[in-house]
Amino acid sequence: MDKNEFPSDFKKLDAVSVFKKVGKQLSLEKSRSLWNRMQSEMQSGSVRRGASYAESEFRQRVEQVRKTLSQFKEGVEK
Amino acid sequence: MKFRINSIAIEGFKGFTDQQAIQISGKHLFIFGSNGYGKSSIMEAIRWCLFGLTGRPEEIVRNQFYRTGDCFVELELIDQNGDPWKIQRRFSPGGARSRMTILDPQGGERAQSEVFPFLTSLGPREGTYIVFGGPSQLPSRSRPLESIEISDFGKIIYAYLRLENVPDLIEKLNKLIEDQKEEERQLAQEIEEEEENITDELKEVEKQLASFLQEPPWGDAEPPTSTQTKRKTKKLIKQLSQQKGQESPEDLNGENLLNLAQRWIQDLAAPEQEELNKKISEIKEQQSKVKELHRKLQEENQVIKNIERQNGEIERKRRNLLDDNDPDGFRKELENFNRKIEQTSLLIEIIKKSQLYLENHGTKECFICLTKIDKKKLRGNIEQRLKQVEPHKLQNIQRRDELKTSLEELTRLDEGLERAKQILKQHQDEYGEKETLLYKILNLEKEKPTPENINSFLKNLEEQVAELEQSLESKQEYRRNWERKIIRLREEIRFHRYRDKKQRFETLLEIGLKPVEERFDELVEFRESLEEIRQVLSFELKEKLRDALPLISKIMTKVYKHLTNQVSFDRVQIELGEQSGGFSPKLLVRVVSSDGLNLPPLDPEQVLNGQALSALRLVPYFVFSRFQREAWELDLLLLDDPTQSFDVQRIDLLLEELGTAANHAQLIIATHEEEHFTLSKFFKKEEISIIHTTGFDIRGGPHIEMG
Repeated sequence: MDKNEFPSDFKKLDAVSVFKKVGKQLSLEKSRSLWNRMQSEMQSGSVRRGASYAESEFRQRVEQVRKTLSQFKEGVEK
Repeated sequence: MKFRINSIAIEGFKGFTDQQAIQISGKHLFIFGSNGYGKSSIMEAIRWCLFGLTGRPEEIVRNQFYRTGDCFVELELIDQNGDPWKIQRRFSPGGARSRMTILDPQGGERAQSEVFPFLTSLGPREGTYIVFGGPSQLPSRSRPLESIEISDFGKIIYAYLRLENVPDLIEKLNKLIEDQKEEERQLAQEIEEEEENITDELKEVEKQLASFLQEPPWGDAEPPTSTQTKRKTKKLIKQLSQQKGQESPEDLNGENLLNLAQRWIQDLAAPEQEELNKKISEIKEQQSKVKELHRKLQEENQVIKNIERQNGEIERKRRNLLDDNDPDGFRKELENFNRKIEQTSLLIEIIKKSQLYLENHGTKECFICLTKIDKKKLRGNIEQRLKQVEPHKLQNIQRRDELKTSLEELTRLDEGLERAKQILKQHQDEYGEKETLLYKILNLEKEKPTPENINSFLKNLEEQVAELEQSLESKQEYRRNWERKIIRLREEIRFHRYRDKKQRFETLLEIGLKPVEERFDELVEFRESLEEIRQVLSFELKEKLRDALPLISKIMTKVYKHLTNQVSFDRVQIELGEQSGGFSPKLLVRVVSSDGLNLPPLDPEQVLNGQALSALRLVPYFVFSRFQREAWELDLLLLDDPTQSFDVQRIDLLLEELGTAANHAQLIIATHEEEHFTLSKFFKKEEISIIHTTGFDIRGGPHIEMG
C-alpha cells in the first residue's frame, strides 16, 4: 500500500472537524450555547465528558422541575 | 512520545500462576504453540494491562486456583529515547476493580492522560490501534471484554478515521434524549395529576360552598365578611368573660375562641343545671317511692282480705263437720265403736269355732256346761245367732270409718287454719311496716295515710317538679342562646374557610403551577437543543462519510484483493446504514462482484469463505494504520491466530502485509501454525523475538520457552 494513495482530505475527516462544523449549523441559540459547553468539555477530556455535561444539565433541570413541583405540592398541602 | 513493549510479566491472570516474564528482545514477538497452551492468555494479558475490563466483573480474569489470589500484569515499555516505562495493572483479592499504574523511567507515577493522551481520549477502543485477529476462535467467556471486535467493521472504520467520537456522542445523546423523554413523560404525568387533584379539590369545595349557601345562616342578608365575624366572636367572648370573671384571651383565633366560649358556657350553666336536675331527680324518686308503697299497701290489704276470707271458709267447714260436737267427743265415739267392733268380732269367732266343733266332733252335750243338747236344734241356734251378729258388726265398722274420715278432715282443716293464720300475721306485719314508712314519708303522725292524703302529697311533689323543670328549662334556654350564637359564628367561619379555600385553589390553578410549567418548558427546550445537536451531528457525519466512503472502499478493495486474490466478491464497499432512529449512521461492509453477475452488495459473512473473511477483518488495520500512525503513542498490532481458515499458500500474502505494517508498528502475533510462518522472508532477523508455549498445567500455568 502506497502512502501517497491516501488523500490529504482524510486528515480533515476526524471527529474534531465534524464537531467544529456543528456549532455553525445549529439554529437555536440555546442549542449553540449548550454545544459550546459540551465541546469545551470534550476538548478538555473526552466525548464522555461532553455527554456527562449534557446529562448533568439535564438532571439539574429535572431536579429543578421536581423541586418546583414539590414546593407547589407543599403549598397545596398547607 | 512513541513506545514499544519490551517485556511482559504475568501473574495469576487466567491460566497463569506464579509470575512469568517474557522478554521481547527484538521489535516484534511471535508466540508459537499448540492450542490450549496459553498463547491467547498472553495476548489477553497485554490487552487487559492496557485497558482493563469495562462493563463486566473483572473476577473472570483472576486465576481462581492461584494461591495468593493476586492478578497482575506488567508491561515494560521503551520510549523513543530508550528509557524504560512501566504499565502495571493489579487486581487484588477483595477488590472491586483493577488498578492501573504508569511509572516513568525515574519510578514516578504518571497519569495515563499525560503519557497516552491520544489513547486516553479514545478510551478502551483497541480497534483504533490494536487488532485482535480471529476472535471467533476464543470461547465467549474468555473473549476480551471490549465491545469492538475486528469483525465490527463499522466501528473499526470509524475508529481508524478517528470519527468514532461522533457516533459515540450521537449514541450517548440518543440515550440521554430517550431518558429525558421518559423523565418528561413522568413529570408531565405528575404535573397533570397534581392539576387534576387541585381541580377535584376545587370542585369539592365549590360543592360544599354551594350546599352551604343553599340555606345560609344569615338568610337573605349579605354574607358577613371575615372582619365582621372576627368582631362578633370577640364581642361574644368578651361578654362571656365578664360573666365568668376571667380575662378574654388575645392569642386565640376564631375557632379556638369559640371552643373556649363553649367551655365557659358549660362552666357557667352546668353547676346550676346539675343542682336542679338533682333536686328533680330526688323528688321524682320520692314520688315513685310513695306510689310504690301505696301500691304495695293496696296489694297487702287485698292479700290479707283474701286470707281472712279463706279462713272464714275453713271455719265454716269445721263447724259443719263438728255439728255442735267437739273433736274429743268425736274421738271417744270412735274408741267406743272400735271396742264394739272388737267384741262383735270375738263373738263371731266363738260362734264359728262352736259351729266347727259341732260339725267335727258330733257331741251330744254342751262342751262347756255338759248339758244334754239337741244337736240339730243347737246347730240351728248357732246359725241364727251368727246371722244376728254379723250385720251388726258391719254397721259398726261403717260408722267407725265415717267417724275416722271426719276426724282426719277436721285435723287437716285445723292445720290449714293454723298455717293461714301465720301467713295472715306475716302480711299484717308487712302492711304495718309499709304503713309506718308511708307515715314517715307523708309526715303524718297519727292520721292514717288515706288515698286522699297520698294523692295530695303526690300532687304537691308534681308541682315542685314542674317548678324546678321550668327553672331548668330557663337555664337551658340561656345556654342554648349562647350556643346558637356560637353555632352561627362557627357557620360563618366555615363559610369563610370554604370561600378562602376556593380562592386558594383557583389561585393555585391560575398561577401556582406556572413556575413548575416554566421549569418543565426549560426541560423540554433543553431536550429540543439536544435533539437539534444530535440531528446536526448526524447530518455532518453523513456528509463526511458520503464524501469519503467511495475512496475508502477503493483502498480497502486493493488490500483485500492483494490478500485474497478473490475472483468473485472481489470488491469491498462501505455503505451507510441507519440505526438508532436514523440519527446514528452505521457503516456496513459489503462485498461486490466485478464479474458482471450484477449482484447487489452482500454481507461478507453470508458469502465469503473463512480465509477471505479472516483477511477482510485485517484489511482496515493495514489500510489505516499507516494513514494515522503518527498519532499513536503505542502502534501495536496484536493478532491472535490471524491465519485461521487461511489457505497455506495465502499465508505468505498476509505475512507480506504484516511485514509492511512492521515498518511502523510493533507486532505481537500468536499462532499454532509455526510451520507456515516463514518469517525470514518478510522480517529482519534481529527485529523478531520468538517464544514457544510448550505445555500447560494447572499449578504452573503455561510452559514458556524463549527462542
